Amino acid sequence: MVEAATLSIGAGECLCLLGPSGCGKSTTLRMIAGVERPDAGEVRLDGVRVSAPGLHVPPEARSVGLMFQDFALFPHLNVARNVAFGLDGPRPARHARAMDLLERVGMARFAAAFPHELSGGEQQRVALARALAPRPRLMLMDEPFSGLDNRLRDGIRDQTLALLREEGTAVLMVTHEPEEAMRMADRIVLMRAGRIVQTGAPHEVYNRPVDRAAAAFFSDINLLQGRVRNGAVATPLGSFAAPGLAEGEAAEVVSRPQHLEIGGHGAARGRVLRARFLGRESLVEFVLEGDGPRLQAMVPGMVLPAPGEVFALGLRPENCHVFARTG
Amino acid sequence: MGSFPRRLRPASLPALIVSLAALLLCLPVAAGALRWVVADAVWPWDPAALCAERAGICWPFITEKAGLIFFGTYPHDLLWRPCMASLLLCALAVLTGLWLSGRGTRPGAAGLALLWAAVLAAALVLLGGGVWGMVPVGSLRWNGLPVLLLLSLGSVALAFPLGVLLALAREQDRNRLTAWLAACYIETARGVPMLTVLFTGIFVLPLMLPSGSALPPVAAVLVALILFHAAYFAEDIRGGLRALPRGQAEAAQALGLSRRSRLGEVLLPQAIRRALPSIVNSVIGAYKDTSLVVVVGIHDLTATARMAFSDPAWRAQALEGYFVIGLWFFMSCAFLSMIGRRLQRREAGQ
Repeated sequence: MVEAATLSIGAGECLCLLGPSGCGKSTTLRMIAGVERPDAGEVRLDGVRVSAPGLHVPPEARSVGLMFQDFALFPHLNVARNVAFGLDGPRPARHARAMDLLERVGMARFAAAFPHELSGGEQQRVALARALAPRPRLMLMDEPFSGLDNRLRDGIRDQTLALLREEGTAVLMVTHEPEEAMRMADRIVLMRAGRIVQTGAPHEVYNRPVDRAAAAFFSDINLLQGRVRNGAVATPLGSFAAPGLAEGEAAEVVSRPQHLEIGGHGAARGRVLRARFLGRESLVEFVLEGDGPRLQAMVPGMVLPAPGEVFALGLRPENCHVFARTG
Repeated sequence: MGSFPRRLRPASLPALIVSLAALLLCLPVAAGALRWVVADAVWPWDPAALCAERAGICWPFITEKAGLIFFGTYPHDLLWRPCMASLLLCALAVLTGLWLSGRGTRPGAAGLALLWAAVLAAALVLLGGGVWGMVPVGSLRWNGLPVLLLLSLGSVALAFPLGVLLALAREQDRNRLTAWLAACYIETARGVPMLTVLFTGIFVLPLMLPSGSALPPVAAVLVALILFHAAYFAEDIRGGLRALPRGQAEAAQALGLSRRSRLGEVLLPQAIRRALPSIVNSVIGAYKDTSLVVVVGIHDLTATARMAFSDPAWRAQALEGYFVIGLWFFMSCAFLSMIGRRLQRREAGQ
């Protein structure tokens, strides 16, 4: 279900539709591809309307590439024929284009293999070559990396993006993983319940979330609650300006765990509940003294205080976001 | 029982009891059969008169009446023609089966269709004659094996493409009326017994033709069989189409393929491949059902066997006659089942 979504992609841009499953991101992508018909609204490609009430240009006439989560390679055709499948023109030219693309995704030596003989990563590369072969203006990718081994993923993402840049193809990608979106997108479109919540460059969406849920989608958050008094919310970790909120309104202060400062000159004191070393960083959980809220801190390196130790905690206003309280 | 081969070792006491009981039941049957086939047999070189004395199989009857059992009343001096036709049709069936199950280099769909058309045409010419100096032989005298093969292979060959069209017509969503008509046709044909269809073919079909034009019974039966089996093939193929992941059609669509090539090059080849085991099932059914044509007066193998033992000199040899055709059906169906099993294994392996 998609309620309302308006978005635009520039030539050569990589746009990520990001959201939890069931938020309508795949449906949006499928409507742009033309395999699903919207009830209302328009889709334009290069300014030409391809979908509008009473108008439906079929997918095969839209010049869009489509890549699926399960790759949807044709199991009865070998790799070279899979890639050459969507191409027109004389056979040698088609074969040359197919082999050129296979070369660039590093799959040329598998040209005669059949899809079921390939690993997931190899299938993904063939699917990419196949979707790029007809030189689509827009490449639509539905969770293209989620079927892959975690450790392969980063490399394949970068290769994919590089190849798409070389071809100058605009990309619209759907994913439910914020890390993936941050890594690949020029702009992120955050969706929830069939609507677009926020659009912007990865750092904008991450650093200036529009609400608590938008912030919580990218990482765990620390939540402090209070009421607006004199245009600010007073919390155990200090007072935070609450622009746009009415006097006396219930508000919440949202921050990310890496912004909780330990051992500075903060006013509040937190007792360590537990600490975990995660490799690159450590996660320390506090409870504010006086039975206050629990807070998490993400600290670089190995920081493993013993449970029960007490630290001063601080939070800078520029790292906090104040919203009206929800739920 | 330590030295007993593992797969013969009974799993438990009840299993042992059941096995022994089954063995006890089978033994007399097996002994009787063995006595009939070997101990009491009258061998081909024995004098025919011996058959009246011994209770076993009478080979002199079979050797003398082989021509009649397999080719019926086809003119005796022209027997090489039904012989050749049968051989060609058998070879076609065997080759196709082996190709489909992955032996040898497989010709493309077009090559296969061409080969089938050529062999069926050659069989028709051989049986009917009338060209290249071959004496014409009326279709009423095409009896026994060649007519069985011609009807079963001919009906499969034509019912299959018709079934593909019906399946596509029923699955498409562009024209509701066509889909509805196809569904009606398929459900009706599958809901009617084969015998009704055969009688319709023999008695009603000729009435529907312009008066004066005579439709030989073989042709009428062939049309009836084609229309009947097409419905079953249609459902097999529709099952294959349904089993395809939605992404296949969408991927082909996004690659800019026309409807026709999406169907012909992406969806149908995969659907048919997936449906092959059930298609082979339908083919076996169609083949065995073909012997039902005897009730509408086509002299297939069962009818010719009866001709052979209705000779006053061989009245007592009904069992031998049915034994021979039983053996033929057993072997040919075993071959078809083998192809089916191989296909299923290959599907499972992929």
